Amino acid sequence: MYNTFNTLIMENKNFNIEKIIESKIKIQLFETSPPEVEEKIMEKVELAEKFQIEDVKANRLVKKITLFVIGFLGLITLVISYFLIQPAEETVQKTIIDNIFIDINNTGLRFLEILGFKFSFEYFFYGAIILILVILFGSLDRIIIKRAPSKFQK
Amino acid sequence: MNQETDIIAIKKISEGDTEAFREIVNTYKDKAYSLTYRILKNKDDTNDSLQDAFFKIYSLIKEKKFEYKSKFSTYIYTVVYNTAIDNYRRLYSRKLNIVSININEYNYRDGDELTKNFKYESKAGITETTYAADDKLSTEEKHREQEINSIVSEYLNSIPINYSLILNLFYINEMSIKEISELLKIPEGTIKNRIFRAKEKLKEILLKRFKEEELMEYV
Repeated sequence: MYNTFNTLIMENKNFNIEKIIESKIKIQLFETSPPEVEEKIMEKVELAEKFQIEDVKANRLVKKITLFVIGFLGLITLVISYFLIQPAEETVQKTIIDNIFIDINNTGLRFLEILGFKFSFEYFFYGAIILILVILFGSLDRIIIKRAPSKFQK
Repeated sequence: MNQETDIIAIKKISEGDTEAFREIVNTYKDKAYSLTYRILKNKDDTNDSLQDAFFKIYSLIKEKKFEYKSKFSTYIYTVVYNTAIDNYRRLYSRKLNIVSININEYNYRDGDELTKNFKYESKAGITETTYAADDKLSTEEKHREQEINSIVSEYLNSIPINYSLILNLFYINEMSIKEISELLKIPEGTIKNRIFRAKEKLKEILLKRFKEEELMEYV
């Protein structure tokens, strides 16, 4: 009976010492941040918010302008390619196809012809232009999005 | 702040309410500061890292990246921890080792790494003015409390980061063993063991200097 009581007291003592140690650890580990930290964080955030709103507006405008310019350039390219490539089409197309795609009928591209695609230099040319325009538009878009944060990031 | 108020604040932030974010900063800044300071151990670097971390948190909320899979506080401390680790790597050009303990195999004894750098010297000349804030305790008790605090502080600053970081995450950031284990990628058993050993060693140090009864006075 005495031993059980003694064990209980000991357990209680250990428990209490543990509690003291834990509370002391908590007190000593806790660091209070300097007051300017909050202000600096909020400054950064508010700046970001401001830029984001302006950025969305700027983004829309630049996108419209870019689309217009790309559309205009695309139209000019189509017109030029129609008048310039058309007369030379036969010689240029044949030379390129003969030299580069010698065994075109035996390659994998043959199945495109079977599917109804007419293989021609013109398609490659237009395809390349569209691809370049898409890449250009895509990268312009990314540049615009990236621009805003760089202004307030240190 | 509880989970519910956190969710309301998150919704407001994603709609561009910066004041709601100020509340979040206010609630978590001190605990996040403690965590970052534990890693970087420099006040200026800690301030910078904390700014980066909270800005990241803001951007993540705005981009609706928080998916309510974990507690919001855990999410915050995870971002704060990762930012501090990135900054540590950038500042010191090396990785922070929180997994293994650097010991010399030949003369290593269990718990050595906890007291290797612990050097406590009792500070004489503590005056009455030091205790002016608390009049209920006698001078001797105040002196004792001051000394206990100094020992605990010195001990926590001297133990390896493998221990102090876990203690911080557990006691200050109030993360569970499982959450700490997931964050640090250390088994749960190791986390429990390190918390237990760190406390036991501190208890041993305190009991060497004070009688049990003296410590019990603070209960």
